[in-house]
Amino acid sequence: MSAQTKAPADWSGVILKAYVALFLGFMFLPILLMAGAAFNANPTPSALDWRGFTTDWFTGRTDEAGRVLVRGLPQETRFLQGLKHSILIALGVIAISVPLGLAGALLLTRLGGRATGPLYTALVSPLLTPGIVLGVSTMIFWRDAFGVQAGLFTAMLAQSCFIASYCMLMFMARLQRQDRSLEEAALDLGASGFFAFRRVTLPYLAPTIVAASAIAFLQSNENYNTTFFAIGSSWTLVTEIGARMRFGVSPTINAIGVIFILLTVVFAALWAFSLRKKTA
Amino acid sequence: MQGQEVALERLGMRFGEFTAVEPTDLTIKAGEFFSILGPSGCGKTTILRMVSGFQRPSEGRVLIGGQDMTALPPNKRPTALIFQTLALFPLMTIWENVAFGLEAQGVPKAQRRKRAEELLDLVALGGQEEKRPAQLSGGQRQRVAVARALAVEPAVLLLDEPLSALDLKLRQHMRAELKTIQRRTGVTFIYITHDQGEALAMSDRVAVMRAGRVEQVGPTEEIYNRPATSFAATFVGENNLFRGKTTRAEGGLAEISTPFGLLRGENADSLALGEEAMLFIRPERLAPARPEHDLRLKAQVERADLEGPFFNLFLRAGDQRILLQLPNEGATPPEGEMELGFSSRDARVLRAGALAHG
Amino acid sequence: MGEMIRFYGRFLTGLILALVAFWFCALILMPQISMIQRAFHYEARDGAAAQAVLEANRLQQRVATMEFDIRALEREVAAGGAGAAPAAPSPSNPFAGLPSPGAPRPGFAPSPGGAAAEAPEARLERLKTEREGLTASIAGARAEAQRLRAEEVAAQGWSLRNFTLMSPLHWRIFGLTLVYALCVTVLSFLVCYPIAYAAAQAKTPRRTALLLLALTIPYALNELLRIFAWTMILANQGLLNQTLDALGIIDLSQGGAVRWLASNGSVFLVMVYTYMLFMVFPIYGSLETLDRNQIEAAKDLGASSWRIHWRVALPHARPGVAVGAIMTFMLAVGSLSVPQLVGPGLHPDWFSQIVNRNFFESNNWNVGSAQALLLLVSCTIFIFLVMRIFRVGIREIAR
Ligand SMILES: Nc1ncnc2c1ncn2[C@@H]1O[C@H](COP(=O)(O)OP(=O)(O)OP(=O)(O)O)[C@@H](O)[C@H]1O
Ligand SMILES: [Mg+2]
Repeated sequence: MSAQTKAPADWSGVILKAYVALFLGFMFLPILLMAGAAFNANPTPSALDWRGFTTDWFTGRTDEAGRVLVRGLPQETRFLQGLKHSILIALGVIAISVPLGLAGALLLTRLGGRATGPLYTALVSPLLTPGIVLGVSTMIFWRDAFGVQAGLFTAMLAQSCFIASYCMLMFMARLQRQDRSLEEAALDLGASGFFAFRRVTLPYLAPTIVAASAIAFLQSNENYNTTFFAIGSSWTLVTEIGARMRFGVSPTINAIGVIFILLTVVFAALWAFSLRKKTA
Repeated sequence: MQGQEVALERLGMRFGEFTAVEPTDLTIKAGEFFSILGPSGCGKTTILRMVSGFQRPSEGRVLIGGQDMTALPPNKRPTALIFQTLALFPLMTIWENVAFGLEAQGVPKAQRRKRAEELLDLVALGGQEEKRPAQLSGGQRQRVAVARALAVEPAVLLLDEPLSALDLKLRQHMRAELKTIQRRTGVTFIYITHDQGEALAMSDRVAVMRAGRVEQVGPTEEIYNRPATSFAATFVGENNLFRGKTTRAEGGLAEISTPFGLLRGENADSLALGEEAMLFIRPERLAPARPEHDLRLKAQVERADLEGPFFNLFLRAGDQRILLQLPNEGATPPEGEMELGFSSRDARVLRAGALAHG
Repeated sequence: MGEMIRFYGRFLTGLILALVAFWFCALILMPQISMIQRAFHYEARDGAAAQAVLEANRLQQRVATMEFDIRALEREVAAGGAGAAPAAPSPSNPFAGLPSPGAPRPGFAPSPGGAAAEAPEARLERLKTEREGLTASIAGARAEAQRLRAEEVAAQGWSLRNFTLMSPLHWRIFGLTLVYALCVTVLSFLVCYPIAYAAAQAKTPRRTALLLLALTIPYALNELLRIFAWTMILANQGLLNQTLDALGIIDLSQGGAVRWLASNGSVFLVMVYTYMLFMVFPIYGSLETLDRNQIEAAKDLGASSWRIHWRVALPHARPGVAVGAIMTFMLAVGSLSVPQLVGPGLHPDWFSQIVNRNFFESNNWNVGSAQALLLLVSCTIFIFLVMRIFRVGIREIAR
């Protein structure tokens, strides 16, 4: 009987495997193509129409007189400026959303009672709101209420709004695993609430604070839809890439992509390494 | 360090409709080793949390050293709690754990360190200062928790089943150690346990609780020898139980009619004629019938287990099971039918009520 | 609350409350209120009244030109009509062509064709009557503008006009966008479910980890770069067309390139690719807790693979599917990046592009707010529907 039922099960397994393979191709092919085009001398990004290997899109090329022959990353000042803006915003987002997320998580895990349901819904709602709505509403609010024009500041706030929710969920997951009696023990030994928090709870949360900051940084840099609306006439690396995709692509975008990939690989390796070290 | 008196005045706790602790009056003397004994869920931890300040009572007051503590938060009370889970700080070293209370008071580091070392010596953990809790054994962790609590020089130390996680040998060892520490420091200990052996071995006085109510308070011999309720009689130690109706009550004795004839015992509840009653007789007070025994019954030996100094004889008479402890004097235990006897002065007749085991 | 103060003390509790209050009020609630305010606040701009004012101004300008001509002609008539040679028609700009008093210049002829033959006196007469007519119509136009303006002013303020005055085309686009987003959600589920299943039921934890890592790596890349990679494939000279060309299906050299970009199919494809993780991970999360033995048991009972999925795995994945659907729908419906960058020239636009245009091109913030509000409301309704259909609560959704 089991031989009878084995056969179809195996078939579905084969199909599933084939599908997974196909799927991985679907995931990685575009990225490989994009990376390839970063090294192609062809000024239209393409991995197929090969015109020779070059790293000019990374380094740029100038003649002796200093005239620009190929506009590479060093010449693309708007990209560089955008990167600076992106990092500024991301740092601001970390500074805002990690404390907000932590406060929300503490309130929700410690409050108890009937109020937590609606409060929870309210604080995670930005995750379920389209990014464009967050961007638009932040831009409008700061201009209508305070006359603040859209810019880096509003982009930072718009991003913080939903990134804080991510942070909050991470902190809540950690706090729910915490042994409440640790804090109680601290209080019982005469510590003030603040001292107990600083000396017991905060060290316990430290790994999550690091993780939440990393997530906040990545999310902030990744974000387009919200930032596009909230940033006004300024720009970040990502909105600038978007602008360039609409008005004249160049393989420098591919070069940026390659750098992103390298950074990812390096960080993933470091992460894996630190994990291995911890378990060893 | 000097122990202080703890007084509960009509202290009660309700969670919504559910009453965890009924209004209770209880006074624990300064420097006493006091145990609260009761089955799981009877409200022991709740009482402790009200004394330490983590739980605001729904009624009544807590007084420590004569002062009303009811409104004070835990960090303002002269109590220290040893948690059921110990709650050692996992990220701190042992000495930092012990010195935590001093750190919170702002004591300089050198002084803290010195005090922590003294206390660790007191609990026989000298030289382990730099380890972390995860690197210690269960018993060692237990002692760190004690040292940490003593560091703040509490007047009252509250211990919530601190030994429940340890194995039997270690538990016995720690009992003695806790007792020594209590004698040496003079701090009032309120000790919570559901292990009656532990309570009897360590305490000066014991409170027996059931379902949010204190059933009996008294010195350990009184709790064991003169249980006040059927629950206390069966929860503390082993007891043989015979049910019946009261047929006579005079001269401090009560007589009940059972399938084995009339049995007599001390009329502890002043029972009247015709009341449903329970007669309790400890296994060690039962013996093969001797002339001085005024009460006798016949039973069949089913099994004899050697416990070292004595045998546990399991007997049966009809539906009635009987346990008898026979001193081990080198002879083989009896078999088959035997006649048992006991003296009515050793038996206790109580009003029929709840029992500890079903 | 009292519990919390006892726990954390006044200072810390106050700080926590203040932070949460700031987050909720300044970052979540107030911005939404501002947006909603604008959405229900009608602001008349470049409407009929403004048109009427423009028309009146234009007439006024023509009268001014005429006045100038009349004065020139009058001078000419007074001088006896000598040397009246009309100049070549020059652009009639009365302000640039203001004459300097000492040097009279020939006037501008409103109708260059017949002007040469006409006698100056006759022309003067004709111009004067024309001027009368024009002046009268200016007065009319001004009155009309005033009336329209008053009407618009009356209409300003709280109203539903931002919604009711939205063109039928925009409503249609809104509806289509919802349908599209639904399509993307369904597609994404179909693509992702087998992967999530494969990851959750992989033979070894190592394989699960590898598969998940493979899924995550493309996501460490920027959303826009992911889109960009696809535009390279879908471009006219991109990989897809080149492959088709190599297979002889199309002929690129003859201009037979298929225009993949700027089609809804491409937008769907790229959206599925871009937002896939939000579908895979929730489903993986709930399938992971599915006991492998259950599946084995079902297999042993002779259930077909379809049946196993339909009766065992899918019901178990319910909360994950709900979360994935909500996230994907929300991302798709509000996505500006994909339609904007994959489909420049896409027709019709996606709704997010319309919103974008109202904010940044026609500078019509209130209408844009109304449209953003529509997006928000449709997402909210979608969430409630999914929660109903899949019978899950909010706690299970945001994790
Ligand atoms: N915060 C609370 N809300 C509702 N009920 C509670 C709460 N805390 C305790 N209880 C209930 O009160 C009763 C007594 O609890 P308590 O923790 O005092 O028991 P315990 O005697 O310490 O039991 P154990 O020996 O198992 O530790 C239990 O039935 C428990 O369910
Ligand atoms: Mg307890």
